[in-house]
Amino acid sequence: MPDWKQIVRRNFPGLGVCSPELTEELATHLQDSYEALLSGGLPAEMAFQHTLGQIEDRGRVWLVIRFLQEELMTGFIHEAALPGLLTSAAACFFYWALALAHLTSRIVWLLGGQLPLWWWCLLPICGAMGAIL
Amino acid sequence: MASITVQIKRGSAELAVLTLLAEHTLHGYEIAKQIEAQTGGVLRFDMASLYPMLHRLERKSWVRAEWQTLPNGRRRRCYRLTASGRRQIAPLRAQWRAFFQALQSVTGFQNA
Repeated sequence: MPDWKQIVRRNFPGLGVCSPELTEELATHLQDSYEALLSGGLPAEMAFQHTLGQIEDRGRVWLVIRFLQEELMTGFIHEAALPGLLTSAAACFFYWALALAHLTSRIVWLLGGQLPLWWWCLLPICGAMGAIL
Repeated sequence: MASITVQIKRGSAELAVLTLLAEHTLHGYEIAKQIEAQTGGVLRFDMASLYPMLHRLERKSWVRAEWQTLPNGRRRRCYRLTASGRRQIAPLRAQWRAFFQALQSVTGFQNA
């Protein structure tokens, strides 16, 4: 009987998307698939190759892409990008409110009355780092 | 039967899985096989579509996964629907019904 856990580990080396739990889950799926093919009358070698095909080449690429996609959507967007954008928006609003009240914050005064572009670019990064930390 | 395009499959996958899990607690392989069997092979999940989606549903707390050990000692990660997941089924069905009605009005397509 092939060691599917080992095969999954070998096909997804060092990838954060492939946690021990996920490795075991994918391995049991492959084992079920392999056993179903065997019980369907396929010779062991063909069943093995057919099952292996699910996590090789295109299968592997798609699996990694989809998991990364999920990670980015749930992890990066929620944990970093949104807080970063909110920080920028809050800073813009605050700056605008100060300008309306004819108040100039000390940092603006130091920079000669105008906030440079790099300052605005730093804001989402600082917001994201704050959210992550 | 002509196969359904990837985009429609992707959109319908959540509803299919949630509906299936409303009836039974199943592991990934069973989910894939049952959907394939019930749709006559029209909807077919490969690993690359099934597991990222199951993990996404789990993150949304629509399904809960737990490891179960079978009498033969093999462990399986089984998924069951949560109360929150159950609440999603009706709105998703309504969306799909509206989608098919809209399609029907454009194409004149009628259900068999």
